[in-house]
Amino acid sequence: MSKTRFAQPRHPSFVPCRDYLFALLPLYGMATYLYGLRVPILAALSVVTALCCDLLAALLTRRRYDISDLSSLLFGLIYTAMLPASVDYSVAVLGTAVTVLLGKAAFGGYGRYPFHPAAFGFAFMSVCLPQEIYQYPRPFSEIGVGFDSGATLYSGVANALRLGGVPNVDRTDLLLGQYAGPLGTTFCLILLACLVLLIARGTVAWQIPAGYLATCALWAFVFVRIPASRLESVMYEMLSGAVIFCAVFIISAPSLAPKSRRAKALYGVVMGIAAMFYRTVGVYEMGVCFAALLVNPLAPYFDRVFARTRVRVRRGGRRKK
Amino acid sequence: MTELLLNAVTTFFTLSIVAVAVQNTVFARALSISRLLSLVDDTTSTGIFGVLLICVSTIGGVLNWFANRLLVRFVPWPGLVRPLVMVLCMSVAYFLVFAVTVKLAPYDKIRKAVDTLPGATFNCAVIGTLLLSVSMQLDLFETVCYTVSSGIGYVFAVALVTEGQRRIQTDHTPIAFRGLPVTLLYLAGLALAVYGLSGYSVAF
Amino acid sequence: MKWKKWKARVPSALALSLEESMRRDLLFLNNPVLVQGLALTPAVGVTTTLQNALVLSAAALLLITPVRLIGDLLYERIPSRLRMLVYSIIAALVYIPAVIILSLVFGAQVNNAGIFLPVLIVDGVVLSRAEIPSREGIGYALRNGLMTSFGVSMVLVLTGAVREFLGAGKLYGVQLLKTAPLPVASTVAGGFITVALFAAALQAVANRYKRARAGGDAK
Repeated sequence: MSKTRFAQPRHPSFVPCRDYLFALLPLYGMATYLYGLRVPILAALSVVTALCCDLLAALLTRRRYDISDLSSLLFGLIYTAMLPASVDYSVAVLGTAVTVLLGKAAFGGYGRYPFHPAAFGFAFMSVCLPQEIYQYPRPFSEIGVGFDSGATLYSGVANALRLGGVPNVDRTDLLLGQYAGPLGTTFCLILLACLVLLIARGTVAWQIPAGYLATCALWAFVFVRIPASRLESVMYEMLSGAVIFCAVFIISAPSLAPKSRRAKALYGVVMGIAAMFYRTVGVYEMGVCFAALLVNPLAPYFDRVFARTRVRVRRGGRRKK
Repeated sequence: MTELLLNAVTTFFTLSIVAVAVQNTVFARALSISRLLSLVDDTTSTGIFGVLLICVSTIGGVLNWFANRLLVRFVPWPGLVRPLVMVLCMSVAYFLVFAVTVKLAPYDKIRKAVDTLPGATFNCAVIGTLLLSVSMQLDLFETVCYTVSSGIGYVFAVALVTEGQRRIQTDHTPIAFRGLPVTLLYLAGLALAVYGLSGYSVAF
Repeated sequence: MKWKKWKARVPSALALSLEESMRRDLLFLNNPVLVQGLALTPAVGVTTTLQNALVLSAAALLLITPVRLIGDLLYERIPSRLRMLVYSIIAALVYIPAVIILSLVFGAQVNNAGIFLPVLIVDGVVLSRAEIPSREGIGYALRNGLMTSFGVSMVLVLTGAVREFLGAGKLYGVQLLKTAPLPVASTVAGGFITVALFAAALQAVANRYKRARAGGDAK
């Protein structure tokens, strides 16, 4: 009689999180090239913290720890990617702990949270330490690996837009991410390539980022807040403030997205409006994370709206005009 | 005339955005959370509660505005007596809304509306709105705008929390967090979102 | 031995007594704030400092019990539809001497509570008794009023102390740390998180107690 070894079923988060983690690799690689060794140290600390928090949560809730649940690692790395490369190590550790313990574990684990844990953790730390979170070093500057990075810090492009000024950044640098900004959110070309890859693999539904990015672009085209042309306004608004990064990693998260296609499109549009509203009116330049806290819980509502519409059409026997 | 109308519309929209979003009754000031938690499970009650709350707070706000002017003029320590005057204004509003509800509400909703009315009248959101309208020294029109917008903001908060409850109250939630703790954590996330608009804790 | 013989004879009484004992414990297992969800407005909104928490606790002590006692005395004279209205007016009348006492004890610190002091008049913790269509008796009104007040005060003081320490690095105005560890604790969001964590901790303890009692009773 042959012995058949049954493999332990993988956690439902394994496949989408693995794809997202692969998408984060080039971003962290690029950040290491621009900002030095502090970046992988921050990433390593985030990963270790996420693992420890997962173990702690499993211990406290008396549940089996599933090593194939990669979601905590992913959320920790997404949160860390939104920080400056010169940030204190404690900010990365504390933020990751808040993300995993309060943003994910307290709600019951993967897929049970009402808003993206990384958005929650980032918003939490933004309120705690805005000076640490929103001051960035320039690429290729001296950034130490000790507790104090010793880097010279500058305010970001999104802050300049908020104040009504045209940012002093070359267009090429803006596309390639070679300006003072968060360590992982400025590489727009890489991010767009990652988005295409994730859509091709089926991890992300194209309706959400398409609706979101189109709405953001339209808002930037209509409501110009800097002394520049409309197209320049679109360029600066779309390529700053982690707009594209959040489109890939926060807004399109499959565990939070609506199920039906039309609901996804509407969700993307509403998220775009909320994100640009926060960037225009709110006080924090990375307003997308705060907007995500408000719009993420509405995803099931959009599904129900279109489910009700489908039932009405079916009962009528023909599509209503 | 046009200028007056424009000013009125601008005032209304400004106060609406402030009351509904930036200084939301629940997420920015943490008023009437206990009442909100009792409403989240019943969506029909939420609608009726919202309408009654807006009516009571608007009528109460108008009555309170007139009463406050007399209070400040004739009473040496208005701060001591102000809450009593506000409760009396809310009581008058209660009777007015009760009478109108019994006359005008659909027959099948009357019982529910009448049972909901005391809770919709005597709660922290209503008295908090009246107190804030006095402390901000709003005129009569601004008071009406503010009370209506605060009521809408409260109903918006109830709707958001109701929507979130479907997701967070499951068997997967850790036992220690089931019920009140996880709902409060969810409210914390929404409060952070509102904080992101203003960037400061509203004065009380 | 006697206890075991008694337990063997009356198992149904003991099955009730666990629930009843938890319901009566208004300090911990049925805490008005952390379990029943009352008085969340002052707990989350204004207990950003220990001073504010003490003022609100004293206000709760001065409001809850007298309102409950007077409401119980007048129970039969109040129509059911007007009970909440009458309780609110009673609370607003009791508020006047309460604030005078608070001003004498705390001085100008009373003003720091802002609108949350008068808002306590119509808070659920003061008016909740009005929604129950039965008389509890003067003895129970006094006992439950005092226990509820102490239960609320305990949570407010604890929350105030924690939030002031985390949000400002101080305790009762005395600077203990150079920088605030978690400034978010001073915001409403921080208040929600603090109370949520306390409620979760209490729920975990209560669940363990229930399991231990249930296990002990089964033996």
